Amino acid sequence: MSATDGAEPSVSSSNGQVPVDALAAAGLAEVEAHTPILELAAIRAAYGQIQVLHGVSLKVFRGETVVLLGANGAGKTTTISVMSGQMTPTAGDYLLAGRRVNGAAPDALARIGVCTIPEGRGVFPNLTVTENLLMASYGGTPAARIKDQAFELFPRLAERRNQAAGTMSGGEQQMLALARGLVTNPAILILDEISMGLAPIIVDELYSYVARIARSGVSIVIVEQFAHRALAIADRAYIMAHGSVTAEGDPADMEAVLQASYLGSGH
Amino acid sequence: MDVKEILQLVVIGVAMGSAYAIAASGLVVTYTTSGIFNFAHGAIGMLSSFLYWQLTVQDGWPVWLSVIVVVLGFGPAVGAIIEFGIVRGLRGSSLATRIVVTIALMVFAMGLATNIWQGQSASLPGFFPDADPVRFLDVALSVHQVIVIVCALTVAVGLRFFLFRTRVGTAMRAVVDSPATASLNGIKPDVVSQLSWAIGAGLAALAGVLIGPMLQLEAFALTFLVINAYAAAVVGRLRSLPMTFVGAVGLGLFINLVPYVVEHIGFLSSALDGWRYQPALPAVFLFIVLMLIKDSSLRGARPTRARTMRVPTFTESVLGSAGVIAFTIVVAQFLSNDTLNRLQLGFGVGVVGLSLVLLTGYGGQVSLGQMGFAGVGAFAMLKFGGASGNPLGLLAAFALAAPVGALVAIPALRVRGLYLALTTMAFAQFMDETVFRHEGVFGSTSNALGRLSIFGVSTDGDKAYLVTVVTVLCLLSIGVLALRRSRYGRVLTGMRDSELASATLGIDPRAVKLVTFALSAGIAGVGGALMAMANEGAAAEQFALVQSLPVLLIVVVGGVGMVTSAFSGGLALGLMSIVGKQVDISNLDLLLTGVAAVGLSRSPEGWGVGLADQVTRIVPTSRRFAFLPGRPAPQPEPVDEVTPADVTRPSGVRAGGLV
Ligand SMILES: Nc1ncnc2c1ncn2[C@@H]1O[C@H](COP(=O)(O)OP(=O)(O)OP(=O)(O)O)[C@@H](O)[C@H]1O
Ligand SMILES: [Mg+2]
Repeated sequence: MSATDGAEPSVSSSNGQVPVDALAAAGLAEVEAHTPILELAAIRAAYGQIQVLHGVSLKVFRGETVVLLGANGAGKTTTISVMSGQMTPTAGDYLLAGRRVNGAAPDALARIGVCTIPEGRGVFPNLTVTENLLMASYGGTPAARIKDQAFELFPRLAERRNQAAGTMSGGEQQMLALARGLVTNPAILILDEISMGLAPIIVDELYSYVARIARSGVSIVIVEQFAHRALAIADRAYIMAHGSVTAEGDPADMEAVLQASYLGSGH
Repeated sequence: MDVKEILQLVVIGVAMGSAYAIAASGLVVTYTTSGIFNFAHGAIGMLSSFLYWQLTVQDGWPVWLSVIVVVLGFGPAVGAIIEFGIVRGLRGSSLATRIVVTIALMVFAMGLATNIWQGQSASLPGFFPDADPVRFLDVALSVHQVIVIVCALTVAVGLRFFLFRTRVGTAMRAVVDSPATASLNGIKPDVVSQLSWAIGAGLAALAGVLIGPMLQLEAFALTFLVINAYAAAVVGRLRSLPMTFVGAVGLGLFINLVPYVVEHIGFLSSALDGWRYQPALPAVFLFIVLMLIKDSSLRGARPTRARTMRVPTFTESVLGSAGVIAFTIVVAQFLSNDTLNRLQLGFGVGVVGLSLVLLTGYGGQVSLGQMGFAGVGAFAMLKFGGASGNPLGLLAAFALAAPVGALVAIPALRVRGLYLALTTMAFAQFMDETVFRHEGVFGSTSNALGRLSIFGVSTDGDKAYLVTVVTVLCLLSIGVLALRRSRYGRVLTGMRDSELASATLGIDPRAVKLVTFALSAGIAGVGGALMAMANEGAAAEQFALVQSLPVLLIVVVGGVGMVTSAFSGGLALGLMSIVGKQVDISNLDLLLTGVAAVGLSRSPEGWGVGLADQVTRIVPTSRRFAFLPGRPAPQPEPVDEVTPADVTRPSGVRAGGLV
C-alpha cells in the first residue's frame, strides 16, 4: 500500500494480537465500577500524512451517556472511527474495560458489543429492512429475536419489512440503523449525528429511543450538532476543537461553554 | 429458410449460452463483492478443462470424482488463494493496476498450461458420450448439451437462493452495498470476499468442464473464450445476474445464427468472403452491447488519486536520451545477433508501451488493445516503406494508426474505466481474428520488409537496427514528455483527476480524449512498424490480442506515469525472451508476469515508482542525473475528496446491488 492510500480510512484486518477474544469471554459489561468501560488516552490519528487527532482523552463509565460536541471538522467522526476500529490510532491507547485494543478490527469490536451507528445512516440501501436486521445478527444476537423486537419497537419498520432500505425516508433509515443498537444488547452504543438532515420532530422521536436505551444501562457515546437535544439526556459532555478535547464537564456547564464560544465567534 | 436447421442452431445457441451464463455469473459475483474484474476468470476455466482432461482421459479417474475435484476443489481453492494472496493488497489502487494484476494472472495461467500440457491439443469427451441424443422440438440434443442447460438453470436458481435466502449470501450483498457498515455489523468483509472469489472461481471451473468438450482443448482459445463471458456480464452491467443470463443466451444465439444469416443473404456472404469473421463475433457482440449501454457513473470508474511524478525538463530528457543511445551503441558491440534481435523486438514493444504512458499514465484511460494499433502501423510500413526501408513509412504508420485510434475512441467518449478497457480488448480481438489474418493485409507468404534506410544509410545490420529502435523510442519519449509539459498535458492530467472539474473550466473532455487516443494509437503504430522491421516481415501473430496484454503489464509494473517504464519494459521483455531461450522454458515471459502480479499487489503503483523514491532519497535533487525519474511532486493537501462520481451519484440508493 502506498502512502496516499492511507488517506482513506481503511478497514483494518483482524489480527490475533489484540485481546478482543479475552474481552469477549470476560464480557464487556462486567467491568468494575471504577474502571471506564471505554477509554481513549492521548489518542492521535491521521489520514495519510494529515494529523487530525492530537491527543484525545476521554472516558466512558458503565451505564453512562456521554456527549461529544464540537464544530464541523473538530474531529468527532474521526474519534468515533477510532472507537469503532475503522481507524487505528497512530499513538495513544484505546482501552475497553481496561484492556488495550488498538488495532482491533471493526467486526471484532462489533462482535464483543461495541455497536457503532456511523454518520449518515448505517444501513445497507439495497437490502430490505428484514435483511438489514438479519445482518445485525452477526453480533451474536439471534436473528429471530432481533426481528421481533425491532418490529415491536418500530411498527413503521414492520410495515416496510420488504422494502429496500435505501428507498425509505431518512428518518426511517435512521430508525432502522438505531434498531440494531437497540435490540442487539450492545455493551457500548456509539452514535454519530443521528439527527443529521432530519426534521426536529423525528429527532425527538429518535432521542426518546436513545433515552430508553440509556435507561436500560447501556453505555452510550453520542456525537451531535443539535447540542441541546443530546445534552438533555447526557450524564457528561466533552467539547472538541481542532482535534483535541478542550472542555469536559456536566451537561449544563458545557452548554454554557458552548454558548459563550458561539457568541464569541459571532453566532 | 429451413426451419429445422434454424431450430437446431437455436438449441445449440442456447446450450452454448448456458455455459457462458455459468462463467459470466461467476465473474459478476466476484466483481460485485471485490470491485476487481477478474480477467483471469477464463484462465481458471481453461486450467479446469485441462485438469479435468488430465484426470479423466489421462489418469482414468471416474468422471464424477474428477468433476468434484475440479469444480468443488480446484476452482474454489484457486479463487480463495487469489483473493488472499493478491486481491486484498489492491484496495484503493488505480484502475490500471487492478486490471493489470488479473491480466497478469491470466497470462501466467496460459504460460502454465502450455508448459504442463505442452502441445496437447486433445479433445475432451462430454458427459455420457455414448448415450443417445435427446429429441426436443424435432431437434437432436446431445446429453452433454442437456446437462449444460440443466446446470445453468441450477446455477441461476441456486445463486438466487443463496444470495437472497441465506444469511451468508445476504452478507455478501451487504458487503457489496457497504463494506464499512458490514464490518460495523460484525461481518468480516475479508471472509465474505474470499468466499465470493471461491464461488466465482468454482463457477469458472464448472464452465470450463462444460465448455471444454464443446471445443478443442487449447489453452489460448479456451482462455479467450471468456471474452464471451465478459460480453454476457456486461449485458448485466456487471451487476445483475438475471440480465447476465439473458446476455449469455443472447450471445449464444448471436454466435450461432449470424453465420447462418450471412450464408443466406447473398451480398453479405460475398462481402465477407475471405474474412474470418466468426471468431470475432463475441467481440462484435461485446462492442454492440458497450455501444448500447448507458454509462451512468459506472463502478469501474471509481476515481483514485494517482501520484504525480515530477516531469523531467527538456534538457534533462535530451541528455538522458543521449546517454541511453550512447550506452546502447557501446553494449551492442558485445551482443550476438540473436540477442540483438530479441532486444530490438523488446524495445519495439517498448514503443507500444510508451503509447500507454500517454494514454494511461497521463490520461488515466486503460487500453488493452494497443497491439491492434501496432498492427495497423506495421501494415502501413509494409505498404509505404516496403522493402526499401523508407523512413516515411514510420510517418505513414503514425498517420494511419492515429485515425483508427480516434475511431475506437468514439465509444470511449461514452464509456469509461473498465468498460473502455473491455472495448479496446474487443477491438484488438477483432483486428487479431479478422483483419490481420485476412490475406490482403499481411499476405499469406512472408512479406519482405526492409529495415529503415535513413538518408541512404541502411540500418540493416542488427547492431545498427537496435540503435535505431532505441533512438526512435528516445525521440518519441522526448516528444511525449514535451506534450506532458505543454498546456495539453496539464489539461490531460487535470482531466484524469477530475473530468467534471475540467469540464467546468471550459475544457471539452471529449475532444481531449479523442486527441489522446489518436496520438497514443499513432505511437503504438510506430512501435508496430519497428517490431515488424525487426523481424523483416509483418505477421499476424505479432499483433495478436494476447500480445497486447503484456504491454500494459510491463508499463504498469515500471510505473505507468513515467516514460522510463517504456524503456524498462522493453528491456525486460527483451531479457525475458533471451533468458527463456537459454533455459528452454516456453513462454517464460508469461510465467514471470505471474510474479509481477503478486509484486504489484504489494506495490500497486509499480516498482518504478518505488525505485524513483529510493533514488531521490539517496541522490539530492540538484545532483541527480538528468535521465533519472524525478521525485513525486509534493502532494496537494488531501481535502475531503468530492469526485465527479460522488456528485453525479445520489448518495442514497445505488441502483441494483447484486441482483
Ligand atoms: N478521509 C479523510 N481524508 C483526509 N482528511 C479527512 C478525512 N476525513 C476527515 N478529514 C479531516 O479530518 C478533520 C476532522 O474530520 P471529522 O470528520 O472527524 O470532523 P467532525 O468533527 O466529525 O466534523 P462534522 O461535524 O462536520 O461531521 C477535518 O479537518 C477533515 O477535513
Ligand atoms: Mg462528523
